[in-house]
Amino acid sequence: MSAVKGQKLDLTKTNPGLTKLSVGIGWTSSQEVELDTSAFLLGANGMTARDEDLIFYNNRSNGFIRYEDGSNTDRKTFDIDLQKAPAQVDKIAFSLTLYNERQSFKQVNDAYIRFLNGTTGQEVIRYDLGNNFSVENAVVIGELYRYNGEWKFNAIGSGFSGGLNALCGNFGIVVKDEPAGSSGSDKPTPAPTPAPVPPPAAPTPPRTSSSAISLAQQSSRGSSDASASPPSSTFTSSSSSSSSSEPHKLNLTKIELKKKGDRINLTKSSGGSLGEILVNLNWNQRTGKSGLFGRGGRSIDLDLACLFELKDGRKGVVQALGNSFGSLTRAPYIMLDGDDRTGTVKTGENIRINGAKVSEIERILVFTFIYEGVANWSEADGVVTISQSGGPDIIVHMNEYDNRKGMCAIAMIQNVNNETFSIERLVQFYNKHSELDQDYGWGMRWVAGSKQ
Amino acid sequence: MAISLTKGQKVDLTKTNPGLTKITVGLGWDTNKYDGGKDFDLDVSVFLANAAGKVENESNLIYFNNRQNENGSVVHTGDNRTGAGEGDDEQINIDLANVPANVEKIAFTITIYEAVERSQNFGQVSRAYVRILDENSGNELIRFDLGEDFSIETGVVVGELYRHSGEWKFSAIGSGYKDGLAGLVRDYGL
Repeated sequence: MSAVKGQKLDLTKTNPGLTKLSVGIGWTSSQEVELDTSAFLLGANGMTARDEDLIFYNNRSNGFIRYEDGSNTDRKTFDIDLQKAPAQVDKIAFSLTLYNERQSFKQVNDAYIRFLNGTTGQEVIRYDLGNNFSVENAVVIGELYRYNGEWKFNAIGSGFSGGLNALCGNFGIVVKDEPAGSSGSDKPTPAPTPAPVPPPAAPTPPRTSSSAISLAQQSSRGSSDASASPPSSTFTSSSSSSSSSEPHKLNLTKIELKKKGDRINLTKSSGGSLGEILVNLNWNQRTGKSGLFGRGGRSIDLDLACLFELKDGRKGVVQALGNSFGSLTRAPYIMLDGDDRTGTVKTGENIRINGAKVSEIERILVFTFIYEGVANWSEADGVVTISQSGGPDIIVHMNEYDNRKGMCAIAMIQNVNNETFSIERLVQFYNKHSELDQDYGWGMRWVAGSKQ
Repeated sequence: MAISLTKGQKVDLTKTNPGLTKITVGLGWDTNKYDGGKDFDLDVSVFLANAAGKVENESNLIYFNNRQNENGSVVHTGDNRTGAGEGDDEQINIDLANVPANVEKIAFTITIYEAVERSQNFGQVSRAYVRILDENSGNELIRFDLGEDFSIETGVVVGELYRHSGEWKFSAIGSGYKDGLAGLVRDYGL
């Protein structure tokens, strides 16, 4: 029997004797889209009673439900013994969340859930979610629920744009925040990954929250006040040997500079060289709180740019304005890629820095300005990702706003002992280049220009 | 204490509440708590039907574009576009004593505006109810929670007031339609 969105179907009433249930969940997506599957065990109030009521990759089973990586048709499965479900479990909500919350379910196709009789293998209900998503990055597929002593299924197919955190909030689970201070992060949910937990070995500030749960895929992360250690680049599911789980390839360590002045040094690879450093700017075009993408709305064109100061005293700017795109092989060893005028291109705007030339670079001030559109930083929701091969991504969310000013200093990249760079969060707003220049003591002269 | 009805149940209204002439019919619902997708806009429409169950003219369909009947005995107090907030989302005030004699039934319906275009149905609406209040005292007399019975429907006949031996009774109908307001309008002969 196939369900449509919103539909409520009898499960056990129409299938007498059904007690062992196998739930299969699947989807198609491109390689870089990483989805996680969870089941929330809810009471009559629609909330979880405790952290263990979230069945997911870090908490795979309890007495009546077991999460498995799928083997054949379905990517993920839950095996449920309905008879053993405790009375206080009134509802089981199945969800899909995007690991990278910058992505949305627009990038996911053909998602479905199906319920099979665990004994006979016969499919009893199937729900295809269709492709009617916009901003959602965490979706409630549907809910199994008790009604008059039977189990029914409600096809939901709706979700949130705030990721697994929002989903957990909806079901009453408090998600651990990163220890490096959560102040100043109002909305949208700033953490690029579901808040990771620190490794036991790493020194971290004490945490006060006790009713919190770790959503991290593995206990491995850097902290924003210490040098990042190289990430373990793969994570192999540690589930029982019987399941043929394929290894996940995940970037487990992302570091967010959350507060003004937060600073981190880039990692040197084993070869001693920094390699190429990529500074990426991406932004959304949301219109207002409802989180709908503004198809009819005015688009915002953000330009990524930087001021540089070399060791020999040369100064300048790398930006699309005036075609100052720079060069990787010659001074300033900094180069701007093409211009993304819409923000919809996945890659956004990129500046590359030749890390091998670290000793020739004194400092780089990464900034952005609104070339077209109103100065509405809150809607642009910009995020800068600084990545280097072999090192963790460093994230600066532009989640502080000053909509009266059209320019924002994002990060200062500073030479450290001619060996590496430190990255410091700025997120400070200005009206024009000359103000920015003055505030950071660059000392250049500025005239107006425009894109060719 | 209000009487809570189940689907199909019929109860006396004026007989058990002597002197009751003015009532408020309040309808409420909760919609989408999720991000994305389209906003929900649910509308209450009231069909004033004759003994044959038909609506004789357009002025006897009380809805967002026709807020009251000709003599003003049935008045829709206004369209709530979001369903947000506590309490009734839309209300109808009825002066039972002045309802025209040819009106035998007053049927209350909730339909989803642009349901097809927005891919919406009652399965995505929760906690829908209708209640009847004494307009003067504000006391809740009758309540009917729609609960579990709807999912893919886009229009629901919640219930109807009807004349019986010179009194008004209420019937908790709770039947769903898949063609929204348009379908209901056809059914009532308009």
